[in-house]
Amino acid sequence: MSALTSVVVLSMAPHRLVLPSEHVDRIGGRDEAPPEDTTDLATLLRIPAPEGARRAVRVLAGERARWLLVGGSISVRSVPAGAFVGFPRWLDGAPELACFAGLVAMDEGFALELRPSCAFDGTP
Amino acid sequence: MERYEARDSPSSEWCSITRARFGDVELALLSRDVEEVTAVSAVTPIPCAPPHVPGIVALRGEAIPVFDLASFLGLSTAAPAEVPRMLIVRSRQYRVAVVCDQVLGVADVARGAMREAAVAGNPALRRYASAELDLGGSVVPLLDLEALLAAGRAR
Repeated sequence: MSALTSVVVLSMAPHRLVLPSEHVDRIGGRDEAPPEDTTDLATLLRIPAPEGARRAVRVLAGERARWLLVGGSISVRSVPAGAFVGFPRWLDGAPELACFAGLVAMDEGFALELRPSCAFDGTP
Repeated sequence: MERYEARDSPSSEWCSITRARFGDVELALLSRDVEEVTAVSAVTPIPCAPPHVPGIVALRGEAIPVFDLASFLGLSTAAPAEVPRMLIVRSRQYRVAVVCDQVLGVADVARGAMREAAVAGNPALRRYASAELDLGGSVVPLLDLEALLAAGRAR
């Protein structure tokens, strides 16, 4: 049986992003996230900011922690370790994809795996 | 299957091409580079990617990048298809889903019916056309898939 990995899924339609749960230590309201320690994910990825309530996840990268402001819905689920795949060769190494570690297969499609370090300065 | 011979020098050398419409333009690919044709399925968009890379599709579990050729070449899309198709193509290095508006069919073309690409009026097409095909009245550029996919990589 394949080992399962817990991930936090950030659904910001049409985008779906994933962080391994080991890099998230808290999911909260935007009020919990101090502005000076917060990165707006929509701004970071240059995607439209979702309407409605915004929430925040606290991301860990090594010794550092920083909040990511997100919209849409947040869920936690388990995926098989084999669901983590790299980018197709045609896209591999593209600087535009530097914030993403690869793809996660789910629901007959894919989500993009965020690099936690991108929450800090927008670079891997 | 349609067959197109050279007008002035009948040839025994034939190659198979796949014809497709991209916007208002008809283009051809060598059929040996086309693995299959499929309907456009759910595309996973990629933030920050250039417009000609709209995302990734799952094809029997494999992640295939999508290449919007019309966008890359700046072709007119005045009459986009209601049901666009994807040509799953493979070059020496890459496997990519090329979006087209319509697959027009497969034809055999005599080598003698291929001539140097001129593709008047479209510098982008001229850059990525390895030849022009005389298909009985219409002239269709034959795409240089290797050059096209190398240039279209997001980088």
